[in-house]
This record gives sequence, structure tokens and C-alpha cells, in this order.
Amino acid sequence: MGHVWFIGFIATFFGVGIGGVLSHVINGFKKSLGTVYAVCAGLILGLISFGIAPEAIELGNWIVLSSGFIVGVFLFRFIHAMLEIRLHKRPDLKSGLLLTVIITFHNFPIGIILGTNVESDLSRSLLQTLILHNIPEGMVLFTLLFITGFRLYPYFYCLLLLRYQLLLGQSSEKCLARKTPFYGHS
Amino acid sequence: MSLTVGTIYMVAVKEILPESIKHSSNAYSLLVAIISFFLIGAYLLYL
Repeated sequence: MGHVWFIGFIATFFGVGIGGVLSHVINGFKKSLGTVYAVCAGLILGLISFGIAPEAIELGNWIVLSSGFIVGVFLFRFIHAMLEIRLHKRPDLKSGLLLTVIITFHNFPIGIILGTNVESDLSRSLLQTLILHNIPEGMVLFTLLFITGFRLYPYFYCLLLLRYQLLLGQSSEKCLARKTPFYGHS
Repeated sequence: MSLTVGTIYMVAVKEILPESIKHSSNAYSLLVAIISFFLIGAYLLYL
């Protein structure tokens, strides 16, 4: 169990960290706020289209994706309304915080996948994949956070949030495996 | 995971893209967004 937590931590720390450094370098060259926002929007839409959506279809099907999408839209409206009340003076911070909360939801199934495969020989390649997978997420998150003018604190704050969901996913997988003895062999 | 697709899509389209258009022109924002869209696509598909 300790091993799997360590892999998750390393993957999140380096993946998101490299993404943050890359976005810092890019922002250093491009000071235009419109450009940074446009790059961020393109990166997010690309991440969904080429990364998350095909993965979701592979795990479920089109119907699951469509119903999840609709629930996600309502979830967005709910979180947006909540943040509107809390952060009405900081609209720039709202987008970054919203995105961090949503990416933590995304890390939950990744935790389950990591928990399932960590005892196999795949753990090293899984670690590499997770680091590469976390780089664009880090770039997206930090592009928005740099715009707000934040530096070091949000990095640790985001890491904590991201790690929390990853750990939750891994723990859920362990509980599931304990309740169903043949779960790991199917 | 499909829940994430819906929420992240809404963040990008409702929050970030309008901010970009507000700070620059429609065509410029769209062009930059499309370029970064395909760059991240290439990264995810070929790496």
C-alpha cells in the first residue's frame, strides 16, 4: 500500500510540477493575457478530446459518457454558483479554483487504475505514463494560477488536493478488492 | 471520468475562452486556441 501511495505522489509531484515550469516559461515569453487564456482554453479542449473522452468511452460507452457529461454540466453550474457567492470580488481566481476542484474529481478513477495495477510488473511504465499524463494538467492549472499572480502556495495547495483524490481512489480500489476476492483476476 | 469531461468543457467554454476574447479579438483567440488544441493532441497521441 505504501508503495502505491509513493508512486502516486511521485507521479503527481513531478507531472504537475513539470507542467507548472513549462507554463511559467511560456508565460515568460507571452505576456498578453488574451493569448495565455486562449492557449489555456485550447489545451483544456485538446486534453478532453484526445485524452479524457476516449479514456471514458473505453471504460464505459457513449451513453455513459453522454449522461456523465450532462451531470458534469449541472455540477459545473452548482460549483460556479457556490464560488460566485464566495469569490465575487476575484473572478480570475474563480476559474483556477474551479479547475483544480474538477481535476481532483478526474484523479479519483486514476487512483483506482493505479491501485489495481501496482502489484503487477506494470508499475514502472505506469509511473512514466502518469507523469506524462500530469504534465498537461499542470500546464493548464498553472497558466491560470500565474495569471492571478500566485506563485508557490497554490502549487502545494493544488498538489494536496490532487493527491487527496488519488489516495481516495486507491483506497476505494483496496476496499473493493477485499470485498470481492476474484476482483483482481477478472 | 465522463463527469470530468462535462465540467472541464464548461470551464473552458464558459469561463476561459470568453476571458480570452475579452482581452483580444475573436479570430486571434480562436486561432491560438486551435493551435494549442492540436499541439496537445499531438503530444497525447504520439508521446
